[in-house]
Amino acid sequence: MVRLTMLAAAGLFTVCATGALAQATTLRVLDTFTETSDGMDALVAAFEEANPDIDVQRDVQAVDDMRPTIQTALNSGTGPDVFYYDTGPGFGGVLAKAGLVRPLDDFYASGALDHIYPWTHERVTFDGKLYGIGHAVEFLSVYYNADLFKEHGLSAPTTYQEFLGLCESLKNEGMIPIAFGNAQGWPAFHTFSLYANNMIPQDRLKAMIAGEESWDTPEIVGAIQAGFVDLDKNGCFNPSVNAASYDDAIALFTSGMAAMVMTGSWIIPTLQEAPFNVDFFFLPAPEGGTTTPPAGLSSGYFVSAATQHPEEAERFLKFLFDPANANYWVEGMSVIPPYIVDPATVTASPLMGRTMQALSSDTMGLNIDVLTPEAFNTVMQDGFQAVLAGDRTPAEEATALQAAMGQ
Amino acid sequence: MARAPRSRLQARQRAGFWFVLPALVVYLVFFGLPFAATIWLSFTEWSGVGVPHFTGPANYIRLSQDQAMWAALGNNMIWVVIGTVTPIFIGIILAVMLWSNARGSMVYRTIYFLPVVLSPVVIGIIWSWIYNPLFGLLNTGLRTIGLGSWAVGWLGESETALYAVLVTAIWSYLGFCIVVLFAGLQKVDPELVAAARVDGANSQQRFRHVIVPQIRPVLTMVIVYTVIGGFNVFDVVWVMTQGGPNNATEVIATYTYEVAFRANNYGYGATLSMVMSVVALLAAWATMRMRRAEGGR
Repeated sequence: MVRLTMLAAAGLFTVCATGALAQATTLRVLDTFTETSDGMDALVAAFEEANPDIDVQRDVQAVDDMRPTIQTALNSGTGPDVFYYDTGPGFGGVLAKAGLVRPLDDFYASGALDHIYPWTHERVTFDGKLYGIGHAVEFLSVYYNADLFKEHGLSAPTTYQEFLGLCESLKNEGMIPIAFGNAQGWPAFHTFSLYANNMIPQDRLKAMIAGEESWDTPEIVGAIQAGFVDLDKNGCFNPSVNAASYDDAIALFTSGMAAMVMTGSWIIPTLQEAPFNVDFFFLPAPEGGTTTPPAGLSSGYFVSAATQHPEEAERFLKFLFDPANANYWVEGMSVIPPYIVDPATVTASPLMGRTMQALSSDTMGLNIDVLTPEAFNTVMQDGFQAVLAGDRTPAEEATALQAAMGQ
Repeated sequence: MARAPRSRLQARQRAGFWFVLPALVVYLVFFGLPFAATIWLSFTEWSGVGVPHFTGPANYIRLSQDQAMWAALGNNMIWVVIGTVTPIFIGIILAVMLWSNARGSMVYRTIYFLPVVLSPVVIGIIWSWIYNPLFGLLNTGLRTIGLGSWAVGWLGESETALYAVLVTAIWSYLGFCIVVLFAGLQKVDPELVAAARVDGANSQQRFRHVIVPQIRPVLTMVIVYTVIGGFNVFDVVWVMTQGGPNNATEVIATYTYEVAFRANNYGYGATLSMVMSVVALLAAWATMRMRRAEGGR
């Protein structure tokens, strides 16, 4: 009898447990945090603990793999519920226009995202509707070996002439002034963004990105000339920039062989491992320009239009963007969330701390390649390599850029 | 009485059909249908989302004006010529040497074949390190022996990039040629070679008029395989240069990938892949015709 009662109790427990499990909703999430996957797993685990009725099935994919596959995945109707993808008209905008992502206007209107920087809204707004939440604020600057600068009595430049003088001094010391690897083509995007933002007023640059103003202008020619031809001719870069990769350039810098590297704040986790102190300065604008460091969003979160779990998706996003969880991003993944982070709530390295401080205090420009269409980026990629190889003049490249934007 | 064998034959044919059916289904699903879909897509404009728009022959008309496509096809031609002649030429010499001197041939064949078992991605990465302008073995070696002026950015210069990638591909493919040609040489009648020697034929004549005719079917197979591979090459180029610098190593497959999956122009991408297929088939057909015309089988 006792055995029978125990069996009945076990059966009842099994039924109850099965029922509870059946109630858990599976939310499929796809992101591109390949190198900081553990940090993202920790954040997801915290969400699941706080929301036991939701089971997050997280997949991670490299950015280069995500771009060609996400459209097919969403189109097939079997894609993720929530995914992390490039913002801007050439990426998230294409999906929005095809009706593959869900508008989030009501979610924004609920007040759950009031703390998100308003300037991020325009990066995820297409045809007047908000389709995503921009994330991972980044900026481009010049990172330098602070110990080496100190050793040689050098300091961060405040004018462009000082910057050129710095290159000359370092070259005379037998060092590589700036590590630059452009084998992949895209590292040149950042150099171009740094110069274009410094040499062209923001309203005009916005108009160019929107296709309302020509790229074939003397200022664009000047930016290409100064950022690629002149720096290369003056020996500011390492040799064979088109053959060296981005990773090679970072290795040159972190090994102490090069004094500076122009890149984005996403590289901070790597730079922090260098055996010397690293600091950064914003590339000073040439005479007549305004120093305007390009900043932007790495990507953004979107919700599939085909999701069967919109409410769960919004709960997940609310958790990700909750300022109380900022430490998961900053400390766990070296990612700067798109809102003012209370320094008391996070544990950040000195470099990360200065980066967050700079973002909240300086006027920021536009990171061009995340906003322009893929065809334009292809012309930048191939064209800047050609300019660096001496196969194309800056004027020819400016004409090619305008032709690509015209398409 | 006469019908019994025929019905047995039909029964065997039916059984054969059922045995072949699974492979046929797999072939149709994973090759036939995608191929038919690619033909259809090549007549459309499609960004990967929504419904493809039928545009008739517009993509094929665009082909004729697409300079990037012609440049990529030109690179494929260079690849096919150098990438076919070099490994087969070196391969046949080494195979004959191994065949003539059987001692230790197994060891050499294993050593030559080793690169073939490596993934093209791994090979591409390793050779990218070798070619690295800053830390690479090649430039370091050149500087060490006083040829520092020859040390260039092999994969970053338009003049050297394609040939640098080709060297990698030849290195990785050579072992396959050697092993297959060596297998073909096993069918060569040594008595014919000996008879030719007695008749006064020198080594060159024996090779050309006695050995090569006997390995012609294998040689044809290797040439066709290599030519088709030359038109379809993608992996090693993509890993090492992604078609750069400034499209200097762009081949039709990398260009197709960029058009379809980076620029999201799947319709034109399908058209380019049709070009790739047709050119490879034509080249293979021409090669086989040529060999047959020379008396091979």
